[in-house]
Amino acid sequence: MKTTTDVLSQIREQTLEYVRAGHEAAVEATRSFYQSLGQLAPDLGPLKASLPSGIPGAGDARDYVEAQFAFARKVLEMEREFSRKLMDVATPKRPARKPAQVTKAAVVAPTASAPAASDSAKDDAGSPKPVAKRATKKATAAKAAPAKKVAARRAAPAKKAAPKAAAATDAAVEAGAAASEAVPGVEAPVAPAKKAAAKRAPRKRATASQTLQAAAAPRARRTRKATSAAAAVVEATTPAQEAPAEAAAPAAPAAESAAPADA
Amino acid sequence: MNTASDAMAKVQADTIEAVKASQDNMISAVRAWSEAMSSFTPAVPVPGADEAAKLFGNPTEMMDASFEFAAQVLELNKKFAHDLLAAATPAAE
Repeated sequence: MKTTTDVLSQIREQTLEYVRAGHEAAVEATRSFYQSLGQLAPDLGPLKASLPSGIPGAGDARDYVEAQFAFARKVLEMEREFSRKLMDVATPKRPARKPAQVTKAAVVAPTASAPAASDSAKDDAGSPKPVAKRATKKATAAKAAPAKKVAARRAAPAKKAAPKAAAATDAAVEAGAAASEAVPGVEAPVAPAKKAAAKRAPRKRATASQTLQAAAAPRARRTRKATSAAAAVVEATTPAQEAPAEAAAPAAPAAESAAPADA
Repeated sequence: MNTASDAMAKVQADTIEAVKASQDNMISAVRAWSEAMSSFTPAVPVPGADEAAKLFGNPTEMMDASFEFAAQVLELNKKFAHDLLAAATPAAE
């Protein structure tokens, strides 16, 4: 199969052949002309002396032709060298990639148990497996981190509220019991307190573990709360204690009134 | 003694020096331009460069072949000139 280079080379060869043939024909024609002229006029007489024998001071015509073609040859060589340099210079020189790093990374990458110091080499290598693993880990961590935060944020009030609710319930129960012990007629107000605590408790319903945590809370805190709750209950039930006294009071005048009667 | 041949040789030498200086300046300018542009522009693959390389071959080889052809033509012309002189000499003599 002929390529373009072969075709061009063939064209050059043919051109040279044509030029050579044309030169030979021209030289033959010139030789024939002068031979014919010499045969027709072998002796030019005075005309021969007037013909120029050459360029004055230029020496032989052959030397002149030789010098001119030498100059042309030199110029051609200079043009050739100039074209080579120009082609070399015009080609942009870009920094080649570093094959050493790629080779090193290619060697390091397959070893999964490589030390941490070789991570940079792995990064340079761009080996898909470790990078993918790290990327998955990072992505999972990145996804899990906000979820963890949100869950913790959501759970924080519940965690805080659950022990409080449990403690409040316990405190209410204890306060109710204490109040009932102190004042027998005050059982009624305890029930609403229990109901209120029970109503409040489901809102901040605690899990079993949180209740256990609350139960494990320091006893002093519970006692303090129970004391304050008991005080509140006692205050609330104070009129109820006075009421029986007032109810018992009319009996006293009756007794007083009976006393004079006895008297 | 300053003959016509000497004057011609001097003119030729000066011409060659001038051409050489001009070529050196041109090469320096192209080198500076190429280095400056290569730092600004990314390496963009020339579309059809591979096909052109397969079709025409290496640019350096192409250039060498062209200059070789020119040198051969020059040699032919030189030979032609000598032959023409040789053919015309009998009449001059």
